[in-house]
Amino acid sequence: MSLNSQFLQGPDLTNNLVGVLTRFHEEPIAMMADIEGMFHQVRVSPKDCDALCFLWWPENDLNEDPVEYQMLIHLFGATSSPSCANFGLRQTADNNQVMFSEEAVRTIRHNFYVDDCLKSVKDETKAISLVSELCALLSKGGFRLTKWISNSRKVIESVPTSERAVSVKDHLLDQLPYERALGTR
Amino acid sequence: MSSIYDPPGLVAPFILPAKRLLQNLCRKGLGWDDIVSNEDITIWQSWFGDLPKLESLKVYRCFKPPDFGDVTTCQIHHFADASQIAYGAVSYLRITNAQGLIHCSFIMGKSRLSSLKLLTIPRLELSSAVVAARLDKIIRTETDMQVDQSVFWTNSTCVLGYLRNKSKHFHTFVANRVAAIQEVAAASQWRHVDSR
Repeated sequence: MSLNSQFLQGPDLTNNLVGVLTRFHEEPIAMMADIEGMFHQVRVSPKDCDALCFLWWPENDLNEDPVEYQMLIHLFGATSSPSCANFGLRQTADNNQVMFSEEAVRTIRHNFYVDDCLKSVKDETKAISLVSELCALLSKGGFRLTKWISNSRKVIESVPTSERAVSVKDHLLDQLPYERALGTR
Repeated sequence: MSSIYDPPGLVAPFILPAKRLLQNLCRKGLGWDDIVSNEDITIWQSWFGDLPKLESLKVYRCFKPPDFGDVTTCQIHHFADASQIAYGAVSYLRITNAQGLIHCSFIMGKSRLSSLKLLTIPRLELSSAVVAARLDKIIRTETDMQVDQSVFWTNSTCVLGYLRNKSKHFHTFVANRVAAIQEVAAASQWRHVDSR
């Protein structure tokens, strides 16, 4: 028996993978991004932190005696983490829905597969405003939506260099690079 | 085999023969360390030799071709079929625009090996119809598009008979599947496609 097996998994709040991919195929302008260290942006409720204690050597020095540490944020691999992180994402959309367009709020609810955002829209104008709205909305919840990539040059150019995917960071080539989306290329 | 990542089922027809081979090996009761017959090795090697060809498969991401404009009608067509070996269904999107242009694209597909217990062809055909109904449910739940109509195609007159029958009582196997299909689609949405 492990401590992790005693954790509650919580409701499955992850969108259906095939659904996310299908919606990604619907419109001509495609864009993708992901949330940097999503699980680590979500705090664990203080009363539950005792379940996430561990021992570690100070300064990574194996000669020292291990010291007791405690995770204050969600970690990869904990049974409860995906549900809590997804909840945090959805709550951010709920809390801020009056300040943003319906499309942006809907995108957060329907076009994320955990930390990956896959969205397609009708035209570039829509895409550009959506990109900036999504970044602003998620930052309200402490999430950074980054590594933006699109099949539209104009959309990529609208994104600050620091928030672009590595392949389109500095200079845009004549031919935009191929990208993988949730494992499909 | 299981490492081929294909959630929409784009290359399901290619993966099926490998699944079938594995099913046959299990049927023969082979263990992990048993030696596979020459015949089975040939099947595997031929399949494995074809595997790298998937690299060259390219599918246009967008269901709509460039400059298609506004969609005027939007239908989903599901094709269900079965054999003694396997059954499955595939779903296509059919859209038209103001100029009357028609465009079709693959949405998703699903195939399954027939169970080790032998089933009759009509029952396998009915099972494939259930897969088609499930695909319709998934697509309609998930898509943001306005779907006007779903059309289901089968070459099995038995399946059409099952779905249109109003009086006869069926065996549990058939009754359960007919009910599952009718929950999603009316009998009038089912059409016969002559495959001879």
